[in-house]
Amino acid sequence: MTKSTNSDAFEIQKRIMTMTGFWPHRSPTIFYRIYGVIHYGMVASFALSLLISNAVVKDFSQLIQSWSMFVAILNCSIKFTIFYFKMPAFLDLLDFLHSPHFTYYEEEYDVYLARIIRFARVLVKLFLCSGVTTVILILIAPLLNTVRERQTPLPFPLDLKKQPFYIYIAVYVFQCFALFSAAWTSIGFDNLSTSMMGLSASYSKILRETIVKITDLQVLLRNNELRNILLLYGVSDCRINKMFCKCVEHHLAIIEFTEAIEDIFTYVFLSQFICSAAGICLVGFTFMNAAPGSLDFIFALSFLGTLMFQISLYCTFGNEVTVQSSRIGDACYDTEWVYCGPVVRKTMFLIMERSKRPLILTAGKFVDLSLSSLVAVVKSAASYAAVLFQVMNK
Amino acid sequence: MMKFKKAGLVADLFPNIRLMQTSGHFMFNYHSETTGAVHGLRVLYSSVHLVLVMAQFGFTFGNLVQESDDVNDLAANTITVLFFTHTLTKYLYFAIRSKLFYRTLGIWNQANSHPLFVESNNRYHALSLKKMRQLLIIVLTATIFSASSWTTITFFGESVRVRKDPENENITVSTEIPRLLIKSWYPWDAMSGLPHLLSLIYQVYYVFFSMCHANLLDSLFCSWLIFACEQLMHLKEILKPLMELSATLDTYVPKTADLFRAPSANSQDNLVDNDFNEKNNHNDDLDLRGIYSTRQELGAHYRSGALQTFNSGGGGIGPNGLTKKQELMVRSAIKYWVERHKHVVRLVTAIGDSYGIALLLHMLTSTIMLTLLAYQATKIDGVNPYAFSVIGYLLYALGQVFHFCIFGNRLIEESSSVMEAAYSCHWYDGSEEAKTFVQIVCQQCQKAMSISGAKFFTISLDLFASVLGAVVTYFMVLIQLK
Repeated sequence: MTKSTNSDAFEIQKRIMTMTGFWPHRSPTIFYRIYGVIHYGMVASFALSLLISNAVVKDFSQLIQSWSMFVAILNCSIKFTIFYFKMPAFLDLLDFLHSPHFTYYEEEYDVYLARIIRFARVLVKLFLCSGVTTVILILIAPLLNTVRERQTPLPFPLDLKKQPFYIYIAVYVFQCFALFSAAWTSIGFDNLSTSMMGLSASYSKILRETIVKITDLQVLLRNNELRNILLLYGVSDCRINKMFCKCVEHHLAIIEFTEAIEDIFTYVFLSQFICSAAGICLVGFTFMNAAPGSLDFIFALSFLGTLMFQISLYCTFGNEVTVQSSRIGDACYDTEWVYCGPVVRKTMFLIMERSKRPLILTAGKFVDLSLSSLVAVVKSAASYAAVLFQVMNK
Repeated sequence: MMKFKKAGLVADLFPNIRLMQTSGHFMFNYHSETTGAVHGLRVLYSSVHLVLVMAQFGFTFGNLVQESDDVNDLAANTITVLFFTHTLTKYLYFAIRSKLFYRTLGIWNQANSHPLFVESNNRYHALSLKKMRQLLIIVLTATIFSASSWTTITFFGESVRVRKDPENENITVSTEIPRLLIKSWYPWDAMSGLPHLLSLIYQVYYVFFSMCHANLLDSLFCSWLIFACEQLMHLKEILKPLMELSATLDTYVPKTADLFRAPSANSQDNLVDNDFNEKNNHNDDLDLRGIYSTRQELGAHYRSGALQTFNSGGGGIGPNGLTKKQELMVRSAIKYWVERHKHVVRLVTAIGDSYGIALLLHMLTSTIMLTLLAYQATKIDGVNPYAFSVIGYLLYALGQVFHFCIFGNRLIEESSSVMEAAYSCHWYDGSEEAKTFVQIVCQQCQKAMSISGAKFFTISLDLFASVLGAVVTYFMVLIQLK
């Protein structure tokens, strides 16, 4: 049974992002570059048009809706801009994933890596389905709504009733393409960072199992002819110490990998956090205001669901990275260190010392990606929405 | 049919387990007879309880929907529904995840033991048993008291529903509703006579058994924590003798023989041969006195292997001339300590796995319920049944949270004090092996063992303080807004 390749975890994301020209290449063709710039320009100008229309729209519920969409699209453009600057670092990370420190383990532990790869692929497919469905619903909604004439999926600064028909069609098509491009790339991008975090967590787990296996008693007894196991103290120290030193090198590789993820994606996380909090607040407010069963209500519900899911994804994976890396010290304690001599114990002590400081992924160094910060974000967004509700309904 | 033997945690917690089985929890292990017929009867018994509990919960919820037009009634009914949500959650949670509970209960079936530490082990085991019994009695008393005071308070005050008159907004109209413990919608008319009596008995049963379901499961969890804490105290106590024993391996220690005497109340027997020891000590005096003074001058410690050549007769190991058997005893003592500690860590992990999600759901329900209770508390206007019931709900909810927070906190404190015990056990007199042992133990025990609510929060008194603070804050803010 061969071992899984870690790049399988983000293969689908790679295809998604290559389709919209966002996947980094070391030396891309001119055509690919122009293609990427066109997509980025579409998303940026879409965000701009939403911003201008916010100043023009009169209807209150439409205003809130438009602000929440603007926040989402702004989030996308900021993330893409940040990623553009971090492209060289990302390419180095992809090369680093081929290092032997990620393929040293026994085949029996491959199951952890395979599990996370399977999970990442299922997640991206799920996200893709739900995202595409939502986008299609948003784009089709004006065609089903017969109350207002010439309505675009999202607010646009021009009053389209006064313009010729082909301008209306052009605006409609532009909004379709821009929304689709933004959603498509965003789905691939979010799942990229989360699958990297999943890889880091699974490598920590594999390292834990490897460490515990080093002092396997059967192997120890077989290599020494002592009949009483208690007299094994310090006998196989040299061999065991060498194996521990190799584990330290693997540990360092995992730490380097996680720090690279942090370096590339930290401001992306920050923008995601702020925009998610703002989005949840605005959409929550719409939710409270709208009558149950109306189109606004359904739109608010689905959008709220998407935002919550996005931010929970980041926080759960970040939490997993932290938890798995802090358990490496526990793995050292679980070995049969009682039978090892002072040389091994000193090495083990230093491994435990390093694992006392777990690997924490942060959002721009402001917030940790963990389950407790998820609870805090949701709580604060809910309280802002309640305050807004009180102010508006005085 | 195997005769079922009580061992480990099951034996200690047997009263609790039997009470849970009697109250209808889906726990089908730990019986002597496991024939198909008897098992079927037990499943039937638990299912009947489940159906009755869910039916009454449905009736209470129906009443909530029926009376949802008035804000005050809505708030009061929501509190009642949430109160009984705890029970339903715990009941169903146990039924679904009972395998994890059985695993945790069976984790202590094969405990290791060492002749030198048996007495300490037994002492702390007896202590934990006593504490578990005390906890069970307290929880049962509190449950019976709450159920009976709920029943009593039903017979005070007016049993009416107050509504605004549809014709005139300023007049309120009161309609008579049945005098029952919980306001419920029944498909039969429960105003008076036999239906009323039957409904009353049904509700008394429901209130009492619901409280039992939730509280017994919580006390099972807390008993596990008590057991883990007492084991940690046992480990802390034997660290000092362990250090002294370990020092004999490669440092000269006077009166080595005393260390190998098991501390027990009545016997003064040595564990290892007396004559052999005396011969060795005699050897020490005769042959090694000169060598020891040199060694003391140099201040060096020698490893066990190097000293084999110095001993003339008997082949003792180390500067104290230990026999092979004594050396094995020392090494096995160290191994006993480490294995026992790892066993406690496994137990705490299993407890966290089995009960973590239940704690998360409990805290979610409690948060919402306490918020609403703070709102209700602002409407208290005198010493009447309303005030008593609101205060009763508040105290009960806070009491439930306090119950597991205090034991979770004790676990955190005990597990982090192991490191302090390791530091204070005269490790500086010990061998190199002893020092590295203390090093690794201190390293591992710096991180306290704690129970988390599915990784969202830790169960400690901090949690209780934040819950209490939140309730007081809401109350103050709402009073201001009135």
